Amino acid sequence: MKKPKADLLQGTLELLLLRILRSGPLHGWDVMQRLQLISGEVLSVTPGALYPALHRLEERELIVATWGPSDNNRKAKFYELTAAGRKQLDAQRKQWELFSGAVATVLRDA
Amino acid sequence: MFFARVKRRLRALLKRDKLEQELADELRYHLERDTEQNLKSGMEPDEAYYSALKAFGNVDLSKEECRDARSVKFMEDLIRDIRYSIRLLIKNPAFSLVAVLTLTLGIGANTAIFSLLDAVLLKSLPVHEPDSLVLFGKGESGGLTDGFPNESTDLFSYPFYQDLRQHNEVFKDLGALLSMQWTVHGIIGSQDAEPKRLEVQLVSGSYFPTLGINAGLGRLITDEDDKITGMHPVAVISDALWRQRLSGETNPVGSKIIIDNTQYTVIGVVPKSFTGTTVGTAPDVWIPLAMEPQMPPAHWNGRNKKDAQSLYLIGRLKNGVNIQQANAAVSVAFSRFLQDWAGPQPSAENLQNMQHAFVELTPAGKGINGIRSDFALPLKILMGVVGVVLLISCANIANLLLARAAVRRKEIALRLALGARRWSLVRQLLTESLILAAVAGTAGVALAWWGSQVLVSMASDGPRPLPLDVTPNARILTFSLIASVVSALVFGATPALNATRVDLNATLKDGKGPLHGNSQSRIGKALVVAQVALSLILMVGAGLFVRTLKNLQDIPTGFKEKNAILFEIDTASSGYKDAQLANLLVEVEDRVRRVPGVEAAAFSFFVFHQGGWHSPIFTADQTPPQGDAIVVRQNTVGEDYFKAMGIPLVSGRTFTRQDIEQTQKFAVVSETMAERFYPNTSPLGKHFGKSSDKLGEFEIIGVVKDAKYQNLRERPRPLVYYSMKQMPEAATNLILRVSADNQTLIPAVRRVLREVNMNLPVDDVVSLEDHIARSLVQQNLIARLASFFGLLALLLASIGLYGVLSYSVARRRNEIGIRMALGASTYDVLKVVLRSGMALTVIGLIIGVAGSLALTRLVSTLLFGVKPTDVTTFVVVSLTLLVVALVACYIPARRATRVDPLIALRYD
Repeated sequence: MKKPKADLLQGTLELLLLRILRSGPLHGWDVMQRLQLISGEVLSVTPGALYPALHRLEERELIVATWGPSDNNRKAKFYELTAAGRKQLDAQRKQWELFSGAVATVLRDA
Repeated sequence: MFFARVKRRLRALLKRDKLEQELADELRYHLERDTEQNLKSGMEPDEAYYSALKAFGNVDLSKEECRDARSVKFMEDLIRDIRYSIRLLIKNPAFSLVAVLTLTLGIGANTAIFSLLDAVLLKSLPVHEPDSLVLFGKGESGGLTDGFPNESTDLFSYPFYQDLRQHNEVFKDLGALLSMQWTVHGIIGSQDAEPKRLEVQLVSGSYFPTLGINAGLGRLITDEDDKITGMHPVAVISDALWRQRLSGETNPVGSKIIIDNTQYTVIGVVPKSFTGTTVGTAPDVWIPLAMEPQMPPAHWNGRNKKDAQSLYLIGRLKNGVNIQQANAAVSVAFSRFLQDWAGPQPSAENLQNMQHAFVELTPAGKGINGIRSDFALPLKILMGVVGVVLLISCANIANLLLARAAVRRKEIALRLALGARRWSLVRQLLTESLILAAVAGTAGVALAWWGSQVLVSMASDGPRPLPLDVTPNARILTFSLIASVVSALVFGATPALNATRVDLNATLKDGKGPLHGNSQSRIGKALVVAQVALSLILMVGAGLFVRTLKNLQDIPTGFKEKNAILFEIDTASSGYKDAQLANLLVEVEDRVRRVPGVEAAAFSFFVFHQGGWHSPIFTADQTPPQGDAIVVRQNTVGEDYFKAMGIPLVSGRTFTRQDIEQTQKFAVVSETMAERFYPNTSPLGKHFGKSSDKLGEFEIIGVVKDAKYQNLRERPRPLVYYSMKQMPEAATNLILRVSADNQTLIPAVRRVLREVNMNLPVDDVVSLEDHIARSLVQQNLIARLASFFGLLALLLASIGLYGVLSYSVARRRNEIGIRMALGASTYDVLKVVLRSGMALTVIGLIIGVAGSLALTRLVSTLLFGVKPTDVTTFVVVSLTLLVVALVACYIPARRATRVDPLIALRYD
């Protein structure tokens, strides 16, 4: 049953959350599902880490929240990127690519 | 964006419950979705839910972390702390009330004294760039002197002012004002029929431009209004005068004020904030110096006299010039002026004088001295006194908090055990202290608002309160705020830190674990020792001031204070001169003398504590050498004066009614004058003059005993009395010698005065005793306040002592019970408790005596007839303190003896 899972690097959770929310408003449960799904169940996050992270992003005005009906017609809290969030995502993404590229190079050539 | 943020934060603070609900909903939704998924994958309902819960982890922790994400977290905590603290304070009304009352008194007293200190010492003049204003001299003397300057000079002549103003490189401008205000009576506006009291300040045309203030209404006096002597009857009035006495006039510009037959036209009103440049005075009217000869009572004219030195000079420094540079330039100009005055062949005396004469420039941005030098030291000392009172009250509250923390020990231990951070507990305890301080600080400011008015009237030496603005301003409020916060930290920090340092194990086990090394009772005891020591110091100070006051009051004045009444009557504004004036004065004296109960009535130019008139006389005799000027004090009096004041005649006679018909002028001299001028012969029949060419002008007809004039501490000085009939002067004092009861007499005298002349304004009626007391207003102020605060300190210290002992008795019930069960007598128990209390008192006493010996030296200049180390004061104060402490200890000790061993032992 158990699959190998990668621990999320400090700060990468934020980047991943911003990326996932880029495609449109989602509530917390969906964000978690999608992260697991897209990463092929490699990356996962516990609710205990997810919700504080979302609240912190909201406080920094990178995402905004609205209450709306979910797929099964119950009230859920949807998160959505703001303009500032979009900018932050681009910046962090570039940084990540630089960083991971560098790490890959070192691992390959050293 | 910004508003959205503010809105969100406000929502976070104000709709906290809603936010909490949303958080719960959000997380519940997550759990439900998980549960549903688990159901779909075939789990049983129960298993599905618990599995979801397990996957979620600690829900409450997640919630807390989400809350932590909020930027208003700090505010939230604060609000929670405040709510909790208020609940606790309301639950302990006795504690809260005592703490708030003590602290209100402490902060209120500090704020009140500070308000006065601010008004006298700190406030800047409401003028343009006050810091670049300088005063010539220190502004410590006022009046007119005609002597050649021979020391630090405060007073200057008009010619010097003009000379310097025209040739100077260091000042942008130079303003002059008469060094004193004239109190006159004038008819104001159109409705006034009777003359009203006015304080007049004479100023040069450059005075207002130098200060750089603009008129509140109309215009101010300029050089154009100060050109030709007697030709500029214009006046600028104060905002208060306009509002209070010209209230009918919407625009006072153009109104008329009549003073001594001269009609002045109001040209403007000064801004409301401006009340003159001398601390503790508030002119009603500013009039050009050019009008000086028309101004009663003295009608001076110093426009062209180098020796008529009566002005204060204020300069505004040029940019880039500092006070030393300006001083150097002024010194050069001053010595050039003096050389010019002394002439080409100066006398040996003037050469000497010139070497010692100098001008010292002082900063004038905070106003001219006025009452400042009289009150600076007393106010600083009182500030120290109330500061100590505040410390003592803080110590009391700290002790109360320590005792209360002991009660809450179990609660605090439990919270620490459950994972509360120590800092958040300390923060909560400190919040409690800050709330107490905030309530007390607010009440204290209100108390000070009232208290500072009372202080001002206590500090005033006449019927009118000193014109000092003590309403709370930004600086005063900042002071109270700092005082409150610092107090809260002083009394709150130690108990808070101490209370949260508990031994969890022991405390939770039996609820009575020892406090950390028993430090709580040790701190409590140390606080009581400090309180005793501080209150002893305050009481010693108070004792010294009270003895000083008593010693001053016991000084013989040289006249009979009892059964004499002083009427202050402005005869100068009547418009009468010379013979007309003499007749008026004689008529008043005669008519008043006939009022039943009046034994004698006389006018006089001066009585005690009204300043003085010092002028040289020249004698035809050998001592002092013929022709040399000797400055003596002078007074002009009515024929009944010596009888009315009760000054005994030594030899010769006093003035009589018949003197007026003589061409020879007569003089009566004081005993000191007789001894000084005529050591071996009788002065009777000797002559002297007011100038060297009239050596026979006055003949001495009598010698009277010395009497005090300036103040009670003065040494006897040579004094000459002239007859008012021979030399009519606009006298302001009518002195009555009366038979015992004088209550019905005053209205009768007032009636008589009105019958004689409608325009004789009576300013003030006061018994001679009260008038003398007014000369001791500073000593009175400091003695009364120091005593009040000393006793308050003693009360607070004994409450502290009582509290600490009561608490220790309560804690030791068990031990006392055992002792009694084992056979200790009531007396033994009493002794044990008393001994522990008195030990603290004695330690405090010793520290206090040592502290007093070190500190009382600082007040030695304010003492009279008593040494700073006065043994009697120290002994009396120490004994008082011991007796009060004994009472404070006895009550808890007595309670200890009533411990029932059975109950005490069973209780534990």
